Amino acid sequence: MTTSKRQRTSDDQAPGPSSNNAPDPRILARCQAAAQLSATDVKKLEVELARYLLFADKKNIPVKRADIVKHVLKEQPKLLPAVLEGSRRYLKQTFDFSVAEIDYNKTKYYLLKNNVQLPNLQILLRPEHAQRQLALLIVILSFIHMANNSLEETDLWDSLKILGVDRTEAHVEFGDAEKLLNEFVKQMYLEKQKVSTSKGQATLFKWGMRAYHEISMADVLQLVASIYDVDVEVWKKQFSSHEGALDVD
Amino acid sequence: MSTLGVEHHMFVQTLAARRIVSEREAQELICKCIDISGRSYSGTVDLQDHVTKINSQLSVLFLEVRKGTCENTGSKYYAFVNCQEDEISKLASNYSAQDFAYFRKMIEQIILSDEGCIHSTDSLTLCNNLGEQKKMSYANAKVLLRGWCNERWLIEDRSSNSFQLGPRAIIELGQYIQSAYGEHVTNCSLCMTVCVYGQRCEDCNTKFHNHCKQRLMSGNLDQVRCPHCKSEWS
Repeated sequence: MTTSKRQRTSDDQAPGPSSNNAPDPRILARCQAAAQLSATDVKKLEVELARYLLFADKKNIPVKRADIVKHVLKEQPKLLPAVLEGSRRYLKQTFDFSVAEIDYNKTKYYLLKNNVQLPNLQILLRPEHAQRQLALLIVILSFIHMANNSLEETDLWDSLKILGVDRTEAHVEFGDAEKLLNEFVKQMYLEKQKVSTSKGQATLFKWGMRAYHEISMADVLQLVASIYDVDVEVWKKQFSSHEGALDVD
Repeated sequence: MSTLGVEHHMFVQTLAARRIVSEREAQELICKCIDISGRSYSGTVDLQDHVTKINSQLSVLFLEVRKGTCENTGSKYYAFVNCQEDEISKLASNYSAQDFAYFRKMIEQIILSDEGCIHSTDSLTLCNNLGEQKKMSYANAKVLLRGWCNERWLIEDRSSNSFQLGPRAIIELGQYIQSAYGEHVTNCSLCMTVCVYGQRCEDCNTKFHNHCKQRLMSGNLDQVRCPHCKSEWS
């Protein structure tokens, strides 16, 4: 007899103690198995997690802790720290990537970070059309940064229109620009926030979690300063805001 | 197991991002990586040596930098391939189930054809019947085909208005083609690897790659003979 609320059928018979307060025997069996994972099994999981992080990173898909537990660890979250350590080793040895753990909006995310700190590497790595998309992204991020990290959607499109990127027309390089912007939001480079203002509903664009992680605000400000040919410190507010940037290490 | 240096990390990262590069691009890339990393190597840079080093680390992750030859041009390519098709690798794909169905149909038609290619008009009619995945518009199919040519899965031969298997398909899917289409594919009688697009000996009908025949002929001063039936080739 158990205190389980489910109806027990013959299929539920599983090894394990049965008493009034015993846990579901199937879960118990799994925990026992988890504790007794052989070295080969652990290695297999480490490889799978490393591959999972690699493939997700390729597509700029943010990896949540829950995804890892579901797809790789098959609902055994206790294994995560040990397996992650092994995966980290493989990714560091082979690619010199490290795995960053980021808490954002009460969710844990895992992103690959490139340890190779050399100028222009990011540009070298990406295929050409992705480089151009990256250029557009940096411009958008600079607009947002100069607006103190909160830029209204209509203002953003007005600024982009000046550069020849129109919300309604197909762009020769970027195609459907609105669709591309939504892609950036999905990849967490940009964040969209709906707010109620005195004038009604408005959509604000902010830097996304991945932008904070991969792109330095200081560099963006430097870029804007070089275009205007002034000193970075001219923009006191933005310059000092770097102190309070999202701590992602 | 030797550890990898900065130049190797940069190189493998770039290959993983670009997926396939020509041998010339790969040679330029490794030299650039070595330059930027500040390491000094005496003598010429041995690309294959560096690739072997990188592969020794990649193999445990079921990944590989694999070399292959384009059946159309004879140029060599290096591709970053995934050696294990599983749930995890399927995540990485940018293509939908319908796109896959069309791609599979395309390569099947090319493999099963006599000439190892499919005419452009035939390639479009293929999307009218994708089994479970129903139909696809011609406009959609054209966008996909262009993308696949850019990624070198396919090659568009403008002169004959047809599509052939590109170097990426040959390198990544070579083993799959062998196992799935065994009886229908012949090997090149010169290099003994899968030959989808090539020529046949007029006398004994054995198949061989254009570039394999070219290499044989350019090396010999005497008359070149078919390795199978020994008849003379012009």
